[in-house]
Amino acid sequence: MEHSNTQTAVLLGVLALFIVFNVLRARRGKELFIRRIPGVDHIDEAIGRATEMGRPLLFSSGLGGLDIITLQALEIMSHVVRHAARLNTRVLVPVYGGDPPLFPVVEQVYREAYVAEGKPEAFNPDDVRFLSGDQFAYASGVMGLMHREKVAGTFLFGYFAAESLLLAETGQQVGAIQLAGTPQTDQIPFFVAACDYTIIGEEYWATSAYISREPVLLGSLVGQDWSKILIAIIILAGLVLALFYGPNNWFSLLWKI
Amino acid sequence: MKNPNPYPHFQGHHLIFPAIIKNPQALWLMIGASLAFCVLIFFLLQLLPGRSRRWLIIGCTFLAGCFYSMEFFLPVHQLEPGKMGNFLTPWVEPLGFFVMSMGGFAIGLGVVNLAAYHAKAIAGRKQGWENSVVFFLALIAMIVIGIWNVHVGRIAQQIKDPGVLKAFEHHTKTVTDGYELLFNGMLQPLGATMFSVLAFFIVSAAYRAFRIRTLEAALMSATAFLVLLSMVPLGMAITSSINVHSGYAGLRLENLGRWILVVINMSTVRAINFGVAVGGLAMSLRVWLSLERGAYFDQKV
Repeated sequence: MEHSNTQTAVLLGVLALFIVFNVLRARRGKELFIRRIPGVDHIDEAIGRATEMGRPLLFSSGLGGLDIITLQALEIMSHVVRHAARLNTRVLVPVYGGDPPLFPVVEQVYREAYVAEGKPEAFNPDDVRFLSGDQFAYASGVMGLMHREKVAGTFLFGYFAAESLLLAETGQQVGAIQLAGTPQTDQIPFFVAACDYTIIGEEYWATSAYISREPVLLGSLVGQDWSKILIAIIILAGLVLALFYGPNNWFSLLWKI
Repeated sequence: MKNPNPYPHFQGHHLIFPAIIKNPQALWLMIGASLAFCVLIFFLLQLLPGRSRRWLIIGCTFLAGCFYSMEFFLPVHQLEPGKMGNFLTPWVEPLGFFVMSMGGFAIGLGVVNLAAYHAKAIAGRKQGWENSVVFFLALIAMIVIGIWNVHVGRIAQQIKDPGVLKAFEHHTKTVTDGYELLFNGMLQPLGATMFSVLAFFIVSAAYRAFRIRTLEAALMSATAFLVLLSMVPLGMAITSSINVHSGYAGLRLENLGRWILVVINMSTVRAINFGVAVGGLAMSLRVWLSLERGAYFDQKV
């Protein structure tokens, strides 16, 4: 769909309204609940394990460019690096070179995490490493890094393609505790099979809210839930009408693209 | 005869540039205005105090997002045969090129980082420094031969005489062969090798994942087994005795496997995708309206 029709514009407007309304509600001090996300709870466990073993961690933001999937991954990376910096544990961050502006952004986020923890001198620029703009060259670089550095924990958050299982299995081979998160449904099975904890689908977007407990992010989550309820109501209404009036009823035709 | 258009390579690019750009002078004016705008923003960012700087960034972010939102939502009409759009549509592609060009400024940063790391490894004789030497050799070889090959290709395109073209190709065979060796002879097979390792990794991951310890694991293993069997001739042969036109045709393995994938699996995947899409919408809204909180946004420390 290159341009919106009226129904799409109205629906998107309503969804946006839900999100913005709940963000404003949260900013005014409304207490909001978020359920437990098991995978995210174990981020601190992985960092602690690496600290005890005296081995570094590895964080890969996948093959994405400077888009919202990678931005979300970088927010998680910032949390991981800050916690690791507190415990004097290295975090290796190999960067994919498909989108040139990504590398300086990742380096800056990494550096600011150390500055925020009051340890700017501990920042090692060699830990943020540009690898390649080629998918499998990047994968083989990360795999080599995992084996050479014998990482104790790996975090795979972002946009991944076929190399997802390569990275996850290599982490298994070196005995690392593995946490993965991606919004892509086609890579989730590989992460579930090879990683210890996997954050799937919309939990990926909820991770930053869960970690930071920022009211704005929690409010946005509630707005997302309202939006999903509305979409579910629309689907159910279409289903019921299709059952009684056939698939070409006015409601189904209304949502036809 | 004097060419009326001093920039012949701009001819026929009316789909790329907006309709108002019918002459190169307007294009240069656009480039100049963009540069002036960028310089203005740069100096404002340096001169303004912290709070005002924040509002400037919020304003620029909002305006940039506004363009794409308005282009998507505004009513469309026919711009030309086979192309619908509104008054903003012709500007989408040039703006995309502008963003790509800005990103191009960062293109050398990664290579500099990589070269610095490997240079330090060689200088410090760190473990595996020989691989760093190989890196530099490969980098220089690919840059030289790659650029040379592009240059040779552009010259070849301009040669119209077949005899001259053949002689030119003969003289530049070393370069094209070198490029073929590096790209098709080394890089592509190496990528294919990494991809093929996946086959073995899938087997090892499946061996670990499909251990039947709980009821859910047993269900998952049984379903996976059914779907796998339905895709191979052996599985189809097992239930081939069931008539395809009978009421029990759904029990044929290939139909059962397809039903599991199309009905159960697809609906679940779509449900997850709805959540992902709404989450993506929420994050995009937060970034556009500068409501995002986190590592590089307005984090309250």
